[in-house]
Amino acid sequence: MGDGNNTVTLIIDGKQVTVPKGTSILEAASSAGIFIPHFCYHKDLPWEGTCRMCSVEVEKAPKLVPSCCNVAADGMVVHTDTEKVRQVRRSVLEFLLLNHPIDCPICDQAGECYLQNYYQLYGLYDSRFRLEDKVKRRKALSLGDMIILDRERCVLCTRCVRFCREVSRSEALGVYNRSVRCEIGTFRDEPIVDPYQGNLADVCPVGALTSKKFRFKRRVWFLDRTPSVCASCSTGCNIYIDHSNGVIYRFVPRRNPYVNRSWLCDEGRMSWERLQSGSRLVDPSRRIDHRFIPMPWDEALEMVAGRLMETVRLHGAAAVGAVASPAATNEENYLFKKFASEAIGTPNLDFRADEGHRTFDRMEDHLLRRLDRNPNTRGAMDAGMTPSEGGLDLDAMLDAAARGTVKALIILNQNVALKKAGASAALARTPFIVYLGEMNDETAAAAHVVLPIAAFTEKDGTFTNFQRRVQRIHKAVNPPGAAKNALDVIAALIRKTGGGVEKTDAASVFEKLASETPAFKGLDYGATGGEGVVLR
Amino acid sequence: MRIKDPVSLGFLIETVRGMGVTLRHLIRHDLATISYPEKRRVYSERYRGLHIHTRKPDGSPNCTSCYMCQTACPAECIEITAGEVDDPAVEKAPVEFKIDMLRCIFCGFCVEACPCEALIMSKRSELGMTDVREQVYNLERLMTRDELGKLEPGDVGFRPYYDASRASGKEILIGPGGKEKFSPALRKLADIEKLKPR
Repeated sequence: MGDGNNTVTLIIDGKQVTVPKGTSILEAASSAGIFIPHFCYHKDLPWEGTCRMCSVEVEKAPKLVPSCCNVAADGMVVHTDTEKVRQVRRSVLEFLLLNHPIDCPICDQAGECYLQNYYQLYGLYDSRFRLEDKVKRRKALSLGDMIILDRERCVLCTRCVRFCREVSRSEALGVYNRSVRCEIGTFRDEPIVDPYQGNLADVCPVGALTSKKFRFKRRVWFLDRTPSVCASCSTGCNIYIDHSNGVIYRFVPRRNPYVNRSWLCDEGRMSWERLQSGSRLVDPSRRIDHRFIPMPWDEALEMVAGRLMETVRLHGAAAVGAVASPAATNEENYLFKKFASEAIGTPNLDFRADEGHRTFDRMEDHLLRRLDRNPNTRGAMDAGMTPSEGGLDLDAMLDAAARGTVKALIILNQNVALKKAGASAALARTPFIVYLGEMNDETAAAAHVVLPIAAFTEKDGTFTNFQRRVQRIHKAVNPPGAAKNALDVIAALIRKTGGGVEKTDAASVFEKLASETPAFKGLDYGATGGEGVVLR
Repeated sequence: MRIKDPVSLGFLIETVRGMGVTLRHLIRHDLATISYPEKRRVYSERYRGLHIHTRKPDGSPNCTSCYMCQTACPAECIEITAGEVDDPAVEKAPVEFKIDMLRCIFCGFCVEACPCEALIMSKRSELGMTDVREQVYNLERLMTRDELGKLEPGDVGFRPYYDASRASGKEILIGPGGKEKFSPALRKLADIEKLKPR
């Protein structure tokens, strides 16, 4: 029996399971590794108990009980796989499929559909219903920017309704009409206005709500899945990057109970579009007037190193300014700092081009989004990407550049020209600017040499979110064109300016970072996967 | 010439006998070889040759882009690009459908996987070409290449789901026996839906 008053012990399929008081039978079973089929139950939504798929046999109970909305009690004996239970699951499936159009060939959910999966386990019967008698409903109804509703496929589990009511609080969806005419919809079919509506396609267990952006793009079984972290704000929501043949097709939330639970905002969800938009930097190049002339990597690195060393020789190391980035990984910032302070020897180092360092933990809404649009502001702060003794911060650097005392700027993946008011004028007067960037943006246009680097979907590393949770990102696809991993580029620059770096893979650089930077002391790279590690 | 050596005499006898076989075959008519390509064999009804993409009665491709053939294909020679169709009774249709005949191993898995009988096979096996690029057949070519117009019912090859009882000459290249796929009620619903603003 359970110890004290906080836990209960019950027996599920012959296994003794101890869970906290108040846990449902379904969750107790899942904690013991026993899967109970369900439609309406969702880990991060309040229970409803409408689908009856999760019914199980409890000894001494007069009939089967839905396990998602019955609390596990001390001494309960539960059977999840008896003939009676299987029969109920078959019947539930038969009722759900009664009016289902079975248009799997054109349904985007096929391959990750609960109906399909359960039918393989418990169905496999011939329909007793004539095709012509099926109730026809509206198909392919557009509900807002992200969602398409197909009412024929709906199983009325109300997950979406509960999501809009309890999680995003937009109250957009509801169940209308009664009995066989029962259907999900918005008031007068008006579009959903909800910055979290993309999640509706994820919570829907069948193909009733599907994503408009992913519609017909790729069958899900062709997709490869790489765990990563969203880089659209300082929350650092955990995601899966779904990609195939080097092309990203979608981001889906990866459950992390401490960060984003099962959710992801629409802005983050679609942030991969920008990375495949064609406005990426693809070739190392130098600017002559307003045209960029591509050049080989070696030549470009040689030229950058040569110009920087010449500036140091003629005007001193303080004439070089280094701008790090809250969008770069911890490893990149660490190596960049090494480059600036050791290889070049300049004290001018800063990353604060926006208000991120003040707003990183301020919420934009009630759920996930934060005002700081950078994924790694805390990491840049922890890695000490600020001016050392006597150094200039970014404002002072730009001032000095405008006055002519700072002769060269090296900018790491941050659109300074757009983020800082008046930066464009200062950049225009700087004799030499190197930009290690992803996008062909305003800063790239102001730079003299552009070095294209990999985006967060194209490299390994760690981001530190607003909670100081260090989380791993993994490489999913290759960078476009000749773009390279920033770690390799910075390491090459260090080597060419007389410094030394041994290994440039993210794990080795992280090891160095953890041994040298107090904030990251003793952290293990391998431990940063999964739910991440919070720094103390 | 006199032959003293009995071994050489054996050779001579065998040579004459061999010539006899040759002469006998010269006048035979039931030989294993034929004068290809002037003469051709009758192929099996299930012969797996060059693919045919069937059409709906209105001429549009029968395929719904479910990607079953691409999934089943062991040679990875099929490439489909799906697109959206305004008609809510159809929804999804291929924008492009390519089969690389140089990679294809003519196993017929794609035909077996197809839920719409959109892909069937012909008995044609000669795929000569002057340009490698010609061997990637696109949707247009799979549906409407010249020879398809001249096909007789017996010329179609592997077609496992064909219901011969519904067959008539006209249906060779038209999908599942020209069957009405959607009930009149749904057609009507679809028409109403088209009038509503999206």
